[in-house]
Amino acid sequence: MRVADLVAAFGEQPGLDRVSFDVAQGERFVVVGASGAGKTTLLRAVAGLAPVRGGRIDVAGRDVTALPPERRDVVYLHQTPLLFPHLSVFENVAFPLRVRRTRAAEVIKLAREALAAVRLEDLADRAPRTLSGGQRHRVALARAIVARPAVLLLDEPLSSLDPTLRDEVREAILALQRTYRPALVLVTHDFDEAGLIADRVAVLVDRKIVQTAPPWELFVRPATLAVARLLGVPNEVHGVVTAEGVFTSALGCIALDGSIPQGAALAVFRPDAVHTTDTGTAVRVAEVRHRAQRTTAVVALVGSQAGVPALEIPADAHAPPRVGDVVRIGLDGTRVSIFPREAP
Amino acid sequence: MGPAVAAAAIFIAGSYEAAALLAPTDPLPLPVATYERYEAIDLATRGDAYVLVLLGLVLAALAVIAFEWGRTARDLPEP
Amino acid sequence: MIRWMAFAWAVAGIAAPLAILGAWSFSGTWFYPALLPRSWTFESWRALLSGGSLAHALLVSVAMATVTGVVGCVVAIPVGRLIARSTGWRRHVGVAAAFLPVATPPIALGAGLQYSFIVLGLAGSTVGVICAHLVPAVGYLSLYFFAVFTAFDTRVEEEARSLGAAPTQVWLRVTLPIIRRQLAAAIAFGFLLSWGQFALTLLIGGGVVHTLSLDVFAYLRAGQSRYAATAALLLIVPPMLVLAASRPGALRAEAP
Repeated sequence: MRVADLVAAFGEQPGLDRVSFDVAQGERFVVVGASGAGKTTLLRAVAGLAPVRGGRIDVAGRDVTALPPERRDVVYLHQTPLLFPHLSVFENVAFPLRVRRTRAAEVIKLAREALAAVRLEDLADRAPRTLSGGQRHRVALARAIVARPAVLLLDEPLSSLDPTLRDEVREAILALQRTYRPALVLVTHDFDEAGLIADRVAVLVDRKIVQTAPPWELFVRPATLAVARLLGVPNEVHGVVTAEGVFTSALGCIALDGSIPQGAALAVFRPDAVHTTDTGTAVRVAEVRHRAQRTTAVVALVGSQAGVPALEIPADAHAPPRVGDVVRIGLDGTRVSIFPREAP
Repeated sequence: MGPAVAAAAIFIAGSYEAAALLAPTDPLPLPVATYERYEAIDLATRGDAYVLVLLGLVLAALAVIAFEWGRTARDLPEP
Repeated sequence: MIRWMAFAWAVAGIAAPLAILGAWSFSGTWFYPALLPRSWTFESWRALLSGGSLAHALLVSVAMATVTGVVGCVVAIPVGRLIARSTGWRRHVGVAAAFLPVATPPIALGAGLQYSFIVLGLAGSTVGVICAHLVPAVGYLSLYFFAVFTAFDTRVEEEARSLGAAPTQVWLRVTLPIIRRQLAAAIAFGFLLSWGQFALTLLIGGGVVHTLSLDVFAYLRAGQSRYAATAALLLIVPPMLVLAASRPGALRAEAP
């Protein structure tokens, strides 16, 4: 699928501003953004369920921009599974084949295959209202994929699920995608989810795509300050880029490659860019944060320093520091992103 | 309850059969009076009948407005 | 205790008039102050079964009411859906416009329609009376389907279209099956609206179209209590059956 300069509206609000991206067959493409960034509008516009004011959408080499939803070879799945209550599980899955007037024998074969792919063959005769939440999601996925659409659009499929259900549905999505190989476009506001699923991630900020990259690259090299903030990178340190192209701050100096102009700048980095050292900058521990998978410490520079807010640094979960301890830290320049500072 | 009262009131006020069979009152109920003037042999009374028809329509319109106002007053605001 | 008493009153309120009507329909001679008829006869029922005017009126009533119910739904479904999808003042106007023919006294409706129907050649015909019945029926059913489609989740139709169904297929395979119980109830309501119509049938039918309602009235005016009671019983029973059949469906609406 190729989307070029897509402009769409969402009610009275402008929804998308010249959005462009490609998705290859079999690729898993995740669009991440805050609520209201335009993620759902993007999917609905591609699916033909929202009006498009400009741009072009190509699916499998065909221009589908002006086509109605049922002729685009694109399936859009809502966040909650919307099964047809008057049809059995089997008939729900068979629906896309029946409306295409597929031969009866073929319908039975393909529908059974799709149900087997989500491990629900035994529930074929059940009514949708008797299914659990995870089963309903899997039936909806099987129904979406049975007619082998070129593109599958999933709108926040995992956002409202508890962790066990999330794993179940994620596994079903990945299994189906491996078997049927559609171009998968999924939107979410959860970067961790994106990391688990995506081959590439696109970040939508203010109705535009500002960065498209594999997840690992996105997480360590956010292209803009907005992306870094969206990622939840906790540490921002003000500093100055000198005429020699060196970023200088209370935490030391970092040599740059010349891409950042001289002047005020902001260093943004994850906790893992910080390491303890005997010769680094002294900081005092203000708070220790224990999380399920990791422990961090919030520290402040010893002696108040303008331009350096509290920092979050890694801590040993087995031997955490105490509040008030003084430690020395150093910064790994290769793990820091520097951006020109916006005018206040 | 307001909309239900408005709806019930206008249905009963407009009912001909019960009024004609059970309640020969003086003055006549509106539907009975309308029908008698409409079907009278003296065609001059048909004009009176049309006036009563319009009166019935106005009462119905008022009941509809009361019904719709009451219905939307108790609805939650549109999302 | 109070609930049982209220229930008993309600049953008595329905059963007692039916019993009295039953007694009248089989009565030979029955004068005040006798508690029961002096003699009994099957005359009016025999006349019904042998295909007299009472049987004819029954058939006409059933046919007209059925057509009104079905045609009324065909018109009211898109109207109700349109009103449900409207917002702001358009919605208010839509609801008011649907309700107005229902609220207007049937006498007023009939008097207003009669001239136009005479000009159109519909007055004094069964088709004309059906058209007249459709005026309040479509209004009422539009309000009903407005409520149905307000509660209807249209995303399920979007999903169906995304899965490859054309708009007509969505209607036939998704929307109508989902609302089939409400549809059955709506046909029943349209049936009942037409079944009980008197003033409209009288004015538009011009005395040519005989329905059971008109016959009850005519028999009463003519002092034919036995025939009036028989016709009244015939008038009551089918609606009770229709209501009994459709109410569980209307209550048990499916959610997508």
